[in-house]
Amino acid sequence: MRTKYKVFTAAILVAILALAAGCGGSKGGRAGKVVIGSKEFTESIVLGEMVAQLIEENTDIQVERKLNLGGTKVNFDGIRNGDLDMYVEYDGTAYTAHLGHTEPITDRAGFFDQVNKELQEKFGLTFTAPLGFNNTYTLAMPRKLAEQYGIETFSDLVPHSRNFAFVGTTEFMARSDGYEPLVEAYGFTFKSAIQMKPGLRWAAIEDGSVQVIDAFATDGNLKAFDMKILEDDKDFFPPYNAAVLVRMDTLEANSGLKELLDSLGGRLSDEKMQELNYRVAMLEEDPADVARDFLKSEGLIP
Amino acid sequence: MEFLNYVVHNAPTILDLTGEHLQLALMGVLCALLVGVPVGIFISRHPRWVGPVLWITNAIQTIPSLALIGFVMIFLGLSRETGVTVLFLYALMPIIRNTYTGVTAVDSGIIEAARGMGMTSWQILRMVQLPLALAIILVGVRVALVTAVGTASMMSLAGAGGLGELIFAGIDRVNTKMILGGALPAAMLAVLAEVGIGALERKLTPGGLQPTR
Amino acid sequence: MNEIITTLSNPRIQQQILEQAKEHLMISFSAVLLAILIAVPLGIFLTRCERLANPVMTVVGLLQTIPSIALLAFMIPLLGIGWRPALAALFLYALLPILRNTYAGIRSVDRGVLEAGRGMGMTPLQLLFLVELPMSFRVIMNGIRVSTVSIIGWATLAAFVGAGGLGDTILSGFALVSTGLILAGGIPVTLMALLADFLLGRLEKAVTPRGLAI
Repeated sequence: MRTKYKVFTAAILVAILALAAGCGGSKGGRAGKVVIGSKEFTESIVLGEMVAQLIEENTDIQVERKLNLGGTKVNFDGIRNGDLDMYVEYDGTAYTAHLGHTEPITDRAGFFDQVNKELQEKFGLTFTAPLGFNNTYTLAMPRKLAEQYGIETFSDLVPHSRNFAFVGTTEFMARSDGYEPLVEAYGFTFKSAIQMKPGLRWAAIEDGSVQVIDAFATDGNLKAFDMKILEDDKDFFPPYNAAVLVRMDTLEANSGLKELLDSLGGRLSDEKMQELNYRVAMLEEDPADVARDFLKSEGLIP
Repeated sequence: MEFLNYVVHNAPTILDLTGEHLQLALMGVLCALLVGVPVGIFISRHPRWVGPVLWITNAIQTIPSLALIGFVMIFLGLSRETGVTVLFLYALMPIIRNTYTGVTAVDSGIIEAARGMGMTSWQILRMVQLPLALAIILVGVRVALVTAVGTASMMSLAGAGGLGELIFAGIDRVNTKMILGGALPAAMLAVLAEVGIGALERKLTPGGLQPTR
Repeated sequence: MNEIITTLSNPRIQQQILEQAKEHLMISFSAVLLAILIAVPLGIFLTRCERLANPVMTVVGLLQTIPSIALLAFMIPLLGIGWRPALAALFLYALLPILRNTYAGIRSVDRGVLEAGRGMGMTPLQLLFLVELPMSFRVIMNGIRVSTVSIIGWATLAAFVGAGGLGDTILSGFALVSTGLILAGGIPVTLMALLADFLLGRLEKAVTPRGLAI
């Protein structure tokens, strides 16, 4: 009688564990279905929507969205193990974060192709045609403050940095092309440096508790918060050309997909991207709507 | 006002997420029932185990949710399974504890009588103890479900979806409409679970055991 | 495994954890302290004014059903970011267990004992401090314990509003897919919660007047 219960309970536990472990279908490189990821900030979500709608409206491929999934590493791990088929990535990010390079870049013109080639060889992933804008990391501070101190470049900021508080995204604070190496390269001495989720940094700027943030060049909030982008005079940051990063086996399994994704090439300028970001971030429009408007205006979807 | 517009415009998404949210909570509680009830019955028969089992489940409750999500994520990654597992773990204590209390609360006199009538232990369990313990177990289910619905808001961080997606996206973009759009349905689900199971409890409790008002 | 070791032995991370642990404790204890300051008097008041008891409890109870992260988020437009919204939200969350237990505890004091006290010529204030409170100490402490342990748990969310705390490290762990960071943040906060539960549990037993010890 006693052993009955033990066996019963054990069986249940095993069943549960088996259920949990066994849950997970086939991944990556399937024909007829793609999973699209994105990072956790506005631009990534808008672009993710764009790619999703482009595929949905032009093919029979079933699209599953996993937007706002997480940081760079989460997306990259996802695409590598097949949980994701594609997401929009930046060549500079791939260079440092995925390919692990630390050497300074000598050939800026051929950078994108060089990175692409390496991704293909090392990971079986490829960029399709670059979208046309360079969303470089930069530092930004309130325009009035910059003018008051006469700060135009990163180097200008260095002597004043001990008067300022810095906030960066979690990712920026930890990346090898991020906060620590930047501080080392320039010699900043910020009076404090904390991390926050991307959107919240702006609340911190607004209430004045921080003055300098890691900004993306196409961030929609820059205009709204009257921020000045400082010039990276020592060329610390690599270029960050955006393009769709996709599994090569997914492209092979779905004919016409590569051409479709390439059709997005060169369609977005820095200004255009910033405008789209602005609409979502400040005007609180739905990323799906903004993406749809853009695709329609470019004649990419009916 | 603006918020109503937002809800109307996004109703399909909100409903989708609410469904996902409820599903997560229900799966977690269901798994906790499948494991917790047998365990509760087991420890009622083996008093030696009562201390350790209750201590473990209490310790699990004390683990902060963000930490537990992190720990489970180490093994199961970003997935629905992670979300369900965390909710399952949190639902264990109310269920195990209430099953144990319910089963042991049945008057030993009644059990004697049943044994006198020739019932086997298994029959006593099935026909006497469980029905009488049902009311108490249901209270445990209610507590477990209401907690699960609340905690499920965090599960979007674990990649499990649910209304947390909307809440966190709203926090990220400092967009109050999105935050409300996620928080209100979540709060309503919690209240619904509380009231709904409360009503079920009253219906299933044999008249003699109803709490006096 | 290697990653875990490199992360945990990194002095910068260790420093970070120490800082965050301090922040975490500070904000948790402040929230609970504030909640005690408000909830205990309020609980006592409600036993004197029973009509208000139900509505007030219901309202405070309702606060609990709002997902904690949402409550935190709502504080941002009102209080900005940083420790203020976090403290406000945590305080609201800490109220219910303490309020409910104070109310229930005082109500449960035997009428006979109160009568005896009044008969001895005690003023209402003396009754409160010499009879009602000591007799409900244990129940109130229980409420404080439950509150404290929950708050230490919820304080991990303070990281979302820029208030620091160990949640920051756990979140970094999520973003960077770093097991080391998840553990570096998760284990200390779990230990804190368990320790608080244990210590306050001891305190709870210790304040039980000997005559009432079960």
